[in-house]
Amino acid sequence: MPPLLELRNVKMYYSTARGAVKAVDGISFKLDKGEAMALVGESGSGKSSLAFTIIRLLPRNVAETSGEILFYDEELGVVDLAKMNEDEIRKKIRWKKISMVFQASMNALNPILRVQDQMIEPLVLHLGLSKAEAVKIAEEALRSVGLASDVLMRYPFELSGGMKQRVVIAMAIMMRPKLVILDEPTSALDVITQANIMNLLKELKAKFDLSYILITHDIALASEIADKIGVMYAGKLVEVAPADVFFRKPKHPYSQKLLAAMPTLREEKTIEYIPGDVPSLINPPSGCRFHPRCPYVIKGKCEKEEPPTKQVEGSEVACWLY
Amino acid sequence: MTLLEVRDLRTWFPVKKGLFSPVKYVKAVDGISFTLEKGEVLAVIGESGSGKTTLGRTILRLVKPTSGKIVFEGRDITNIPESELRWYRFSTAMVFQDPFSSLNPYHTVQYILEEPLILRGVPPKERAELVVKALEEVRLVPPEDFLKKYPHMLSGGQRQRVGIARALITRPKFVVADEPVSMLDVSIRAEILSLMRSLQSKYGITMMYITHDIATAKYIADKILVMYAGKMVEYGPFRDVIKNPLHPYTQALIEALPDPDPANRFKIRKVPPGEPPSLINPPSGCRFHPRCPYVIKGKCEKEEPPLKEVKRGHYVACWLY
Repeated sequence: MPPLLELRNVKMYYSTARGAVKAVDGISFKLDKGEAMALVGESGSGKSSLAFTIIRLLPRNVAETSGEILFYDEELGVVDLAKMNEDEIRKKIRWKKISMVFQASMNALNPILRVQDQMIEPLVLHLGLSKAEAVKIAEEALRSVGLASDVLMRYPFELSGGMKQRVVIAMAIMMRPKLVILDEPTSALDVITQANIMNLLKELKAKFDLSYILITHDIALASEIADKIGVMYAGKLVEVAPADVFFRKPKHPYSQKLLAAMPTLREEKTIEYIPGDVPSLINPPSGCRFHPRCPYVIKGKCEKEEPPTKQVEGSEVACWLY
Repeated sequence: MTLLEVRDLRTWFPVKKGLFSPVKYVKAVDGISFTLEKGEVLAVIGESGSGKTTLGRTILRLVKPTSGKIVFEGRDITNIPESELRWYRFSTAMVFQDPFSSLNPYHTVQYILEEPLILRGVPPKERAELVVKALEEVRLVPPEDFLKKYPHMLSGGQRQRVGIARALITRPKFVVADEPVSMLDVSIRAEILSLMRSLQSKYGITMMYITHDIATAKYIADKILVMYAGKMVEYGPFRDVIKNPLHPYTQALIEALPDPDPANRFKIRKVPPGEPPSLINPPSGCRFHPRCPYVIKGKCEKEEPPLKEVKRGHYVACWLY
């Protein structure tokens, strides 16, 4: 069976006054239907840029994009999102096939519009539905995220943070997309509200057979939903592994460090730190980009040649140790 | 030796609705009591809007308390005028949540660290030495690389280290750290906290660590105080409370927190629905009763539970006990 989404050597560079920022630099992975993948990494590793590249919301100062983003769909067949123009993406892909919950998007709701008006806008404007049809769809979406339909008539300031986040999730799923990209969907919420939202995302995934790409810097949160973990470092995907394999035995030294640095409440462990900082994406280190911070660096190798991605005990890992 | 004693502290902010309607209050801090020995770290846990930040600011006398008592080193500072507070200001410090907005963008790291020393009249030569030492202590090394930098040239973690260095450079006796790591990547939170802990114990600083994340509190706290809607619901030694949380709200806070485990994705977490109430019109009786899974009908919504010592030093305000 073909996957739902397949990325082949995807690149996206921004141009800035100081040079090109290699935010996404040769990323390849596959995502199956109904599968959830978490993209984890520190700030500045290119996770959000990758999400914007997939859903084709490219910044104006984009310098270079290349690679294939193949989307397999019963209706459309195999399409390369990277080759579609904005009009096609807007009509055929966004909202309908792939949608996104943006970081802090609950605060991006327009304060002077009722929830209803914001929810039906893309349906009426981009998809050409009638208002009555659109309202019906919005109502149903609200119900599936656990909100009553009277929320439609409310203004965002009348809702709590958790309710606003539910509205945003309802918008993302209302056209029954196959894939939802979640960019830090709970980062502005309290812990109990966060747990409630994660419960909701699990239920929606099972109910609608959704695929997710969850972007987060919190590995514990990733384990709440991810079937598969992808670790990003300085624009590269350094490891992709099934969750069961990843949490038991992370392969890449960066993945190991990331897990060891994670504060946990129940587990007794000594915290390890990752020395140094995330490198600049304008002039990333030569060879393996993690080599200046890596405890297992092989002199004469790691700083010179870039490690290829290899299959190691169920994980795909890019490291010269394997 | 007791450094700080807080008794039944209340901070209410008046809100005026209309010209003739009665004044209502946001009861941000509503009857908080605790004591801190010298060198102890208290974690104050609560969700947004629980009053934890107001509690910290009130204790530092950045906000005027409505009633109650704050006793610092045996002196009652609750109501003394600002003109007599200078010694208290010089004995305390604060680490702020947002390292991006709490450092003046027009000042160099050197000046940011020097400023509190200038206020205290430390001579220039000594100041320069102290600044270098402070940078070394927060592991911004070599210090020369950082002295002339401006905040925008630093990463979030580095900025927060500057914030910590600034708070500790005057060797305060008491520090309030308000969510000092919540804006940072998870991967560097534990490192910053361990750094704070080691400096805190090295200099015997008493500290109040305000956070919504119990997992980070583990790396720094001796005691814990859980707040809900302005009230304290549980208070005690950190290990005891985490091992055996008594209040249903504390239990929910712990249950809501995932540890990295691939089995999590097959579980639905048992957490109460809804969100914390408004502090203007909080629920009657126990403020947690509308969300509580163990609510006792006819009791919890009517009477407010008193704070009870269930085990030695472990207090809870709940009708179940």
